This record gives sequence, C-alpha cells and structure tokens, in this order.
Amino acid sequence: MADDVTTADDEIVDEAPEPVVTRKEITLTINGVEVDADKGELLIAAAERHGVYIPHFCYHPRMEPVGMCRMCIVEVDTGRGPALQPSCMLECTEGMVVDTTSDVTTKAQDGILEFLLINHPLDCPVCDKGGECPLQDQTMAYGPGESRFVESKRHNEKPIEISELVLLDRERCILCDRCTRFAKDVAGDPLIHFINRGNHTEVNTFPDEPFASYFSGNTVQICPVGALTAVPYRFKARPWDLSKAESTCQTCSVGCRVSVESSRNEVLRYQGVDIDPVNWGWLCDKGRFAFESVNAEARLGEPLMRSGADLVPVRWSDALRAAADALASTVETHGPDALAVIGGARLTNEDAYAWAKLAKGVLGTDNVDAQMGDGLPAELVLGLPAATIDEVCAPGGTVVLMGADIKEELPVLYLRLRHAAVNDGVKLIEITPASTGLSRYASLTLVHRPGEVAEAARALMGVAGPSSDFGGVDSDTLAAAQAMLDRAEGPVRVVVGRSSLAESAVFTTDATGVLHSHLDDARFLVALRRGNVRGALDMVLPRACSPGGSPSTPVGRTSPQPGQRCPPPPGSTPPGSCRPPSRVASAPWCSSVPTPSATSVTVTWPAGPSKPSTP
Amino acid sequence: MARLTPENEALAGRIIARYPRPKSALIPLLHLAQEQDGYVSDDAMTHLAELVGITPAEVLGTCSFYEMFKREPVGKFLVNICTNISCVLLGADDLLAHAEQRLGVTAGETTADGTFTLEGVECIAACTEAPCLQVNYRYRCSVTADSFDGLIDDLASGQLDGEIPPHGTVARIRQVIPARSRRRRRLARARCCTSVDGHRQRRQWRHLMAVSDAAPIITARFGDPEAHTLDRYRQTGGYEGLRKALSMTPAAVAAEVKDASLLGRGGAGFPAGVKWGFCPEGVWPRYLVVNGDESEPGTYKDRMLMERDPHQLIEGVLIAAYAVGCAQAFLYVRGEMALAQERIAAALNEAYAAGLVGRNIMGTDFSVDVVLHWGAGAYIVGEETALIESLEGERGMPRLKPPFFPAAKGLYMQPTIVNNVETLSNVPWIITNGSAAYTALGAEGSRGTRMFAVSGHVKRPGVYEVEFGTTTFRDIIFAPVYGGGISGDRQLKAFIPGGASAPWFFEEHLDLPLEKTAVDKAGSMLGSGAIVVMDETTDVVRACLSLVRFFSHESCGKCTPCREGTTWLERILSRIMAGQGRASDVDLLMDISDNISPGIAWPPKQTTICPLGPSAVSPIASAVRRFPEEFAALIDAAVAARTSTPVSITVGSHG
Repeated sequence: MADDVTTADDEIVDEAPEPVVTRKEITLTINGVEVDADKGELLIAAAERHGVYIPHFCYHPRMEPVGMCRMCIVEVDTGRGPALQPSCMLECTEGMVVDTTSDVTTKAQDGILEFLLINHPLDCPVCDKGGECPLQDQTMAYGPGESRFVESKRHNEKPIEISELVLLDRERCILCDRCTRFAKDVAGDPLIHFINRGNHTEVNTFPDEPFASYFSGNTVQICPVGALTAVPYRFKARPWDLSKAESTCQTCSVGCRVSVESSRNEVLRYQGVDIDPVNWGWLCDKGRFAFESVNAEARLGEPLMRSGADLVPVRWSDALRAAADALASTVETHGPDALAVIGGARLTNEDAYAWAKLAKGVLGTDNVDAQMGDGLPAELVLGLPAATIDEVCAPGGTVVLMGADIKEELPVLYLRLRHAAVNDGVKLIEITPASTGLSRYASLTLVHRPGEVAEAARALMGVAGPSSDFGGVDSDTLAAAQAMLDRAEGPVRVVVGRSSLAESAVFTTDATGVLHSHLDDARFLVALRRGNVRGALDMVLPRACSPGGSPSTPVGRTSPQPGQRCPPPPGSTPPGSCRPPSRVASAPWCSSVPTPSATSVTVTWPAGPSKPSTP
Repeated sequence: MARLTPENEALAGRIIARYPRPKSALIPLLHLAQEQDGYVSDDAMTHLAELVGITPAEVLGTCSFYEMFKREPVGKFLVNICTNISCVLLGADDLLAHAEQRLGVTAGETTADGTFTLEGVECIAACTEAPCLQVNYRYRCSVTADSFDGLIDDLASGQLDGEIPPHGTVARIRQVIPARSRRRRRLARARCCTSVDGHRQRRQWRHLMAVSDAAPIITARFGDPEAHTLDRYRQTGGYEGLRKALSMTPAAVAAEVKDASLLGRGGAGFPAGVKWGFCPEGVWPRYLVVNGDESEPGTYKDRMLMERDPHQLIEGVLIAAYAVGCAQAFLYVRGEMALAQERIAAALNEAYAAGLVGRNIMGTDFSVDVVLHWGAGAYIVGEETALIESLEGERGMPRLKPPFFPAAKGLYMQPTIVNNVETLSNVPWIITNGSAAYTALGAEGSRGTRMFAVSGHVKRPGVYEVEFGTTTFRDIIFAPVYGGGISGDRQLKAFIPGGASAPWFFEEHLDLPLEKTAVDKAGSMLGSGAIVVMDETTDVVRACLSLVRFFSHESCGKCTPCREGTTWLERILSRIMAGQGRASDVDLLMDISDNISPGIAWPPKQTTICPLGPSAVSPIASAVRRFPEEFAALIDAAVAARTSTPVSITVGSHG
C-alpha cells in the first residue's frame, strides 16, 4: 500500500487535471517575484500556487473564507502603503505588492500563534491530531519556545459527545469556524454553533439535540486541531504509523475518493480525498465509518458449507469443489438456463468481468445481474446521453431531479447539488412522490402520486397522457416548472433514479423516456444506489450480452459527438407522440431482475486486507 | 418553562412579518420569550426555531451572545450596577460592595427569596449621573448607599411595581404597524397616547440645557418635557424639513446634506452625505439602518435624543430614506434603553397614524416603512457590520471590510446605509435651514454643532451641545457653564477625549479645539463625544483595568487577537492590581498590545477584524507611557513581598 496519499485538508494535492484557465489577467508581486493571478483569486490561493505558503487555520479552499484566525495576515501594499491584510479574504488586484516575510508580517503572525496557544492545552502527546495537526506544525515551525502566559488556562469538561460518532474537547478548540461553517454552509445542518461570547465562546450543540448530520465526520477531518475526534479512531493510532492507500468508497455509487488508512493490518479510518470531479474531499458518515464492517464480528471470514441445520467452516478448496460440483450437476440435470449468477454491486470492474465470463462463457447462462436495488435496464443506464456530476452541477444550469431522495441514497451527490443550488444559482426541479432532503433547496418540487412519475413527466413536457390530473401534480407548480425549463440557458440536466424500490422500475423507465424524447440535448446522470452497478453493467453483467462484448442494444455510454445523437432507449417516444404504458412494460429492457426459480450460487469474500477494491 | 402562549405566538407572527427575512425577528422574539417566562427556556428556543425556520442550535447561538438574555431564572428585579469608567471614578466599586452586603449576595447571584439578582455591568449610558444603576432596565442615577437601601426597600414592598415591570419586560409600548384602514389608525393613535401618558416618567437628567453661544440644533427641544409627542413636535416646526425635502428631488436632498459636511457622530466621523453616495447605481432594494446601540463608555447622547426628541430622529430617518431611496428603515435601539424604545415606539405609532410614515407619506408617492428593532446587550453591535449581523438575527460579529462595506453589501447583502442617531437628528435642521446655515457653524473640517458628554471628576457633569471647533477642552471641562472645573478643585491627571476607545489626553492638550482634524492630529479622536475626566487622585492602573475589562468582556470572540489578547491584558492588569505583578509585566502588556495593534500608533493599525481590539490598547498605551511609575510601584511592591515571603502562583504553559 502506498504511504504518500494526501487527504482532504490543507495539504491536498489536487490530482484532477488543472482546469484550463488563462491565468494572466492580473500581475502582482509576492516577495519580490512577479506572479500572475486570476481575477477574483484569493491572495492565499495565488501565493500557494506560486509556491509561497502562508500559514492559516480557518481558511479552507472548499469553504467561504471568514478571516477569523488572522494567521494568514500579511503585509500588502495596494498603492496606499503596506498594511496588514488577511490573505484569505483579499482578492488579488493588479499591481499589488505582497510581503509574506517582512518583519511586520512575521511579528504579527508570531503574535497570533502565541494568542492561539495561550489557552491551548498542549496535550499533543495524547491527542489524536498530534502528527498531522496544523497548529502543532505551525508551532514547530514558527512558534515561541516558551510561553509568556502565566495565568491558568481555560478548562472544560472533556470530551463531550456531540454525536454518536464525534467527540469534542473544547479546550483544544481554536474557534476557527471550520466545523460550524461546514455544518451550516456545506452540509446544511447547522446543529453545532458558536455559543456564548468573547473569551467564553465555544462550539456546542443545543442541549439534548446532537449533531445528527449525515456528514458529521467531515468536521473531524477538517478540524485544524484535535478538538473534534471520531469515536472509532480515538486513541487508536498515531498518524505516522498509518499505512495509507487511495481508493474509492463503495458505499454508494457516487464513487468518492478515499484514503484507506490502516495500522497493524487493521483498517482504522477513511479520510476523504479532494478531487474536483466527485467529492471535493467530503464523505458521508455512512461512507466514512462503514469500514468498521471490515473487521466486524458478523462478517464471514471463511467459507461455510451447510451440513444439516448448521453452517460448518471448510477449506477453500473443499468449498470451491462443492460449488463446482453443484454447478456442474445443475447444468447436467437442468441445463444452463437453470443457473443464475448475481454479481455483487460492490465488485470491481475486473471482478464483474470475470463473473460475466464465468456465467456466459463457461456456465453458458444468460441469467446474470449485478443490481440488488435499482433494477434499471442496462440500456437505460448506459444508453442515455450521460452527464457527469460536474456537468449536472455547472453554475447557472437547470436540473430536473427524478427519483430517489439523493440525500438519503447518494449523500455526497446531495452535497454537490446543494452547493450548486445555494452557491451557483443552479435551479432544481424535483419530480418526486414525497419531499426529499433537497426539497428545501429546489426551485420547484412537483409532488406526484406514487407510481405516476411518468404522468408527471408527461405533464411537465406538455404531452397528453392517460391521467387527466397530471399524476396529482399541482397545476400552478407545473406551469412554473414548464416556464423555468423554457427559460433554461443551455441544455437541461436530469438526475434520474428509481424513487422507491417497492414500485416497478417501469415507471422510472417510462418517465425517463418521456424526458429524453422531449428535452432537447438533455443529459442524464443515472443515480444508481449501489457501489459499482454501473461498472458491472459496463462489464456486461446484465443478461443478453456476451462477455467482453457490447450490450445487445448498440448504444454508447459516452456522450454523443457533435451532430450525432444517441439512439433513444426503447422507452422513449418521438416528440409529439404518446405511447401507453403497457407497451413500455412489455419492452425487453424492463425484465433484468432475475427470476427466483433458478439455482443461485453466492460466494462470500473473506475478510482481510485482500478485500477487493476498485482500482 | 414553556413554549410561547397562543397569544404570544400570534404576536410573534406579526413581529416576523415586519422583516424581509424571518430570522431578523429573532432578537425581538427572544425578548418576547423572556417577557413571558422571566428567562429564555430551552423549550422557548425550540419553539422560536420552529417559528423562524432555523435550528435550535442557531437560536442558542444568537441567544447566548447577548447579555440581556438569561437562560436560567433570575430574580423579579435585576439590579445592574454600572462598574465602568465614569461610575468607577465616582465610587461604583463601593456601591457594588454595599449592594452585595445589603442583599447578602455576590454579584451574579440571586437572593434566596428570588426577589433580587445583582449584577455588576458595563456602561449603561448614564455617565454624567454616575454612579448609576438599572432595575429591570429602569435607571436610577447618582446612587448613594442610602438611596440604594431606600430603593431596595421600595422594590421589596412593591411600591415601585407600577413603574418597574417584572424582569423580562423591557419596553411596554410596542410598535404597531397599522393596517391601512382609518379605523385601525384611530386605534393605534389611542393606544400609543394612553401608554405614554400612563408611563411614570422620572426626571433623571439635570444639566441638559444647551448653553452654547450658538442656538442649539438638535437639543433645541430638550427643555420641553412634552417634546416627544407629535403635537408638540409639530408645534415647534417638526416635519417641516421632511415637507421641504419631499418637494425636492432625492438627489438634491442628498446634495444638501453632502454640502453641509455633516460628519458621522458614531465615532469614526465619516461624512454622512458622502456615505449616502456610495450605494451602487441601480441595485435595489436599499436599506437604512439607524445605529442607536450607544454603548461606548462615557457616551450619553443618543439615548437622550431618542428619549427626548424621537420625532426629530424619525424625521431625519425619513429624509435620509428619501434621499437614498430606501424601501425600509430599521431603527436599532440599544436593548437596555427601555424608555428610549418606548418613546420611539410611541412616536412611530403616532407618525404612522398621521401618515408621516408608511405609504404615501404626506400625500406624495414616497413610501417607507420604519421598523423599531432593539438589541439585547452587546457593545460590539455598535460596529456597523456587527449591527447588520445582529439585525439579521445573528450573533453580533463584525464582517470584514473589505469586502463587506455596508453601502455595497450590507443588510441581506443589499446596499445599506448605517447612520448614527445624532447624525440623522441633524438632518431635519439642515434641510429646513439649508447647508449654508449649517456650514456657517463650526470649524473647517467639522461643521455644525456636536453633543459632548462630560463625566468623571468634574463639578457639573452633563451633556452639552456645543459648536464644533469654537470650544476647547479647557472650556468644556473648566468653564462654569459646562463642566465647571475639577471636583474639589483638584488637579487634572488625564482625560479621555472621545469615549473609552480613544487614547487619553493630558494637561497639555486642554487648549485643543473640539474639532476633528486637530484632535486627530494630536493623536486621539473625538469619537463618540464622551469626555471622561480623571483627577490627580485617580488610580491609573485601576482605571486602565476598568476600561480593558470592558473591551475584554465585550469582545465578540470572532478573531483571535481580540478574543485572546484583550482577555490576557485584563488578566495581567488584574494580577498587578492583586499584588501579583511581575517585573516583566509592563513589557508584556505593551508587546501584547503591539500584537493587537502593530506599532501602537494613531490612527491604529490592527491585526483584528474590527477596531475593538485596538480600542483595548488605547488605555494601556496611554497609561503605561504617561504613568509608568504607577505600574512600577505596584509591581515592585509585589516583587518585594514575594522575595521576603515566598508565594505560590500558577506558572507554566501546561496550567
């Protein structure tokens, strides 16, 4: 496992390709060197881009700056003489002269560091953050050797449990507003807040109202000191003992970049890795803390074979032989069609390919699937013109959300969509049977009767359908949504998924077809629930495809070239026409859920470091 | 206790409806909850969170920021004794000690019978009548031990129940924004008149007559106890400035004020007319916010203007709103000023009923809504961006300038003009009499008149409106018509020329004129117009501690150097006062000060977000530089005592 993985904090090395921006709008001077910067670029970011590190605590590149810790103040001359300015709040301007090493700057920064330390307990030897703590690092680099503070320090009860997962040691806190800003501005769950005033200020929750956010673990990761610690990791390891490997979270299909960190052959924590296209360093708590299942007692650690009423541990060779025998005898007795193979939704693409090859090439059965949940046809998932998360969340766009509650099912995609709606002026139009986590940020929420999503979609597209009341959608909201789509600048993006697993996937496929046919140039992000279903579909785990071949319906998964339009999925209808749902229900792409009549074989992977992960 | 009663919930709905965003109503709603239960209970906060549409943690964040909100039950009478500079100079420490003895509790505690809670508080803006106190935010001034005992007896026997409502109720008159029906208008008028007349007004002020050579401008009606009523205000030329303004174009009105060179009276002294011109073109809506959160120690002028001549202020607000094009104006009054809130509420109710505020003012197509808003005890909210945060229902923590200059990005990130009460009170006169008449008064760079509060060791403490630039500090401290000289004819030791934030002046500065440029050049400021005089008997270290403790107590906690630095300074000074000084302490005080305000120069530089940090440095730098021997004497005595008798104090960074 590689050791040099960076995690989502200040020291992030962004692995995504640099966006193509001409950085030549502004010229300024930093420490005597003339450098260029974007218009509106923050001084601290421009300096760092040019190799000048300005110490800071409250600034975080994924959040709005607040200029509170004052650590990043530097001398800046904008033509009126040098003055101390917080570089995290100051936009670069033409001709600005910056000195990050002047005596005045150094004295001021040393002073701030001393202020931060006077009430800090300096309990680094027993603090989880020790070894990866910005405050410790700054103090090592620049701090005073001795304290001039002879008064007694602030004392607080320690630690307090602000949620089941996060503990707070208030005396370590430097009140940088990162956790509270994250809770309010990023997660939209302002359940922790500054309380009291002045020197008595602290972060806390409302009494008996815990920090029950789906994203609470991020606050632990971005805390620049050890004030917030995670229950599963507390006192488990020192950062320098951790082996780190970059990977992809498998908890849902968003594919957040994570750093899997282990010590003494035990996974101890996941940290978010900041990549532009997906998670920006954030993780949901489900993803961050699900690693505990790796070493969970309930997890199978070896093959088991049934012997009467009991499951008996056996050797791998025995288990594999028994499985092979069962498969062979089934094929011999009932033919290959009596077999079905369900690949797990968390398999890597390679694993999924191997399964498909085994099923289709060796066993000779087409009864394969990888979907334990959504049950959407491969042609739909792969055939729609695809949109990336970035494309969906592009500033100023209009997005139709149809399907699952994104906050519940794909939490980090919720963060991205929420950011798009709140910060980037993206208009969200929801088509949903019930209010969702995103409803409060949506411009419009079209609530339809369960099972009538296609009717709602038809109504939105202005095409006639069997329902006279638009599937229960309020007509005023409908009209507003139509007007909003008419005004949309650029192509509309659609996030589509199955709203309820209790209802047929047909409703979703039908509705998707309607939107695909009637929204010009629309692109689709198919919101599947499980980890790598999409990869499995790519690797032709669905039925009716040959291993290594292409789906039976020849539609590409990539976006169409200019002038070339993807063939519509079978559920779609040409503009101006309307097809009754019955025809869609009979379409071949709606029957990918395997029938339970066949014998199924499931092999469970053993626990341990050899657990497969996506490449 | 409980959630809001159905009646209060309905009232809460009406309060919320006044604001563009519900969260802005949070502080008034917390007052409502406290009025209901005597304190703000967790259940009430949860209920408010539901009403406003935020989380209980956000309500708690706001509630816990402000001094006036109590999260535990307190006594029926909350007795707040001022322990800030002007009161300390005149014996507030002794008064507090007496009060503790009389009530049998220490400051911060409640008597066993639950009748009295005693608190030592920071400046409550009655500095010229020190030492002063408030009982449930009703003033008692020039309090002696005997008069304190009498007050406690009266309170305990219920004699004052008519005047002083139980804790939780601040203003008893609410602003009513009337529906536009004639019947409702009549009702509103009847209600406000009854309430005002029924209020037993105490005569607290003594020396309030204007004694300037020039005719007074803003205190002209102070001699008339009925000047706060609409009828009397109109009889004395009231609302004629507004009438004239409405006959002009908004640009002409703004130009008139700009020509008058009306300097802001809040402290920074920025020209109001210039400020009005900073709103970006074509960005609407715009807001006007009136800063009535007067809390600078030693300052005592805005409260008088609001209590004694509220219509003058309202007229100024209307003219400013017309000139700038504001759709709505918010009059933010300091939370502890119950009478000012009542007077303004009554005046607004009258003005609404008379068609002077609201829709189609004076029959024109000019409409503006004026909303009375009130704070809850936080000095920092006097800073304009903190005021805006507070008005948005947030913790009063200043925003960074740049980029958040209110004229461009203010309330709800819209263009917002923030003006001080005294500033706007000048506007009607300027419009009525013209800018030329205004600039004829005062000196180059400081036009018109200005209110100064003279407090501390003077024979005639009081608030005086004087012409800018023609009066000197010597005049205002020593002239018989003003301060009348140092108490007991003792020698002057030092004086603060412009509120607690200003560096001190001394004997050699007495002949400086009361004029912005000259005072700035001499290394201090006229600030909020508060002159605090210290005679030769003053314990400089004690005075310094009183001021630094104030800034430490009032630091909002947002930025590191202020939050940590002011507290550290206070603790060192306390240690020196307690006989635990160390030889290195004076150097340490100055170096900490330098880390808050690099160079300790004037005008101050700052590592902080707002000027509160450097304000704490002013008294230290002044005292240490001028009177090092007083610090040395205390420290030397402590060092000598320690050498002869070893004492144990907590030392070390791991404490």
